[in-house]
Amino acid sequence: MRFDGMNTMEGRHLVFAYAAVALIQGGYFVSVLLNWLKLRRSDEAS
Amino acid sequence: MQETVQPKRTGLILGLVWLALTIVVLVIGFRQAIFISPTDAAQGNVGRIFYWHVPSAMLGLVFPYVNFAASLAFLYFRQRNPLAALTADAWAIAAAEVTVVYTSICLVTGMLWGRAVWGIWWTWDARLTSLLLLWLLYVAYIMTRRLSTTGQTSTMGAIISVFAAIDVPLVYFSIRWFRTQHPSPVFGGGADSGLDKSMYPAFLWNILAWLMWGIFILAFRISVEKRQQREDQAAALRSLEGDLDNYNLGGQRQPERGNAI
Repeated sequence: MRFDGMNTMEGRHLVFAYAAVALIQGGYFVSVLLNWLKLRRSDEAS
Repeated sequence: MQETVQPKRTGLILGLVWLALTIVVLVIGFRQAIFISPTDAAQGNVGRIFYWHVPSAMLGLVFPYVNFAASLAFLYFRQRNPLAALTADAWAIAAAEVTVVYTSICLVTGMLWGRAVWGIWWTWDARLTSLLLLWLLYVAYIMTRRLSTTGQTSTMGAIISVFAAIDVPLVYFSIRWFRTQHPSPVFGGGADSGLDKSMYPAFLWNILAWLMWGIFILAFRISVEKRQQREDQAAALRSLEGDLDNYNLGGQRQPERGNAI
């Protein structure tokens, strides 16, 4: 692929789409992970 | 003690192996989509959004049925087998959240793609509107689960999920029944539909990758929810024991420690 950079709407929107995928999936994963760690700590404490 | 720790450790190892495999497949899918697959002749590089948009759209219509089946199981078991009902409930909330994740990606990538190709961010087209409705129904489901304080929250959620499941076939068939802005189906859409052979590897790797990721995140979320349920039950038990401690044998309530002078 020849990437034209962020100067064209084509390039920008392709990057934004990939960033959105990473942000939404990554954000959800991190929130589940934090919850898991919190529950694990309280499990160990009790 | 050994018996309860062992399955947890096995689950953790299985989860980590599955996650490692998923990351490998995600990397292959990314490489295929960005570097190997040919550039679309009509759309240029922005056409590569296809490899995230379509798998998310397809999986966004699969996970609602996991939620639907789990909700039906919850409604069936809630009077008969409370433990099975709790497991079904954990599956239902996890599947609802994963549905929102996938439909959100589908909506956002679709808007970015639409702006570049159609010149507009949004139109009240049958497919777009029905998918937005599905997203809203699952957001409503999650909000109800989070904010409702009644003892019937899970039952209310299960009923909302039945309505949400009805919207899924409407989303699927919308581009077959109505010819509006959204393109006709890529698969099974008639003589002009289908992908070029050179695009199949990137598409298949990406659908496999996002399916594996979806299964991983669903299983992870279910395990967190089950742990939360155990925590809630333990808290309820502690509170009940505390209440019982406040009563003497004659049934008279003793002053609470904080109020005692």
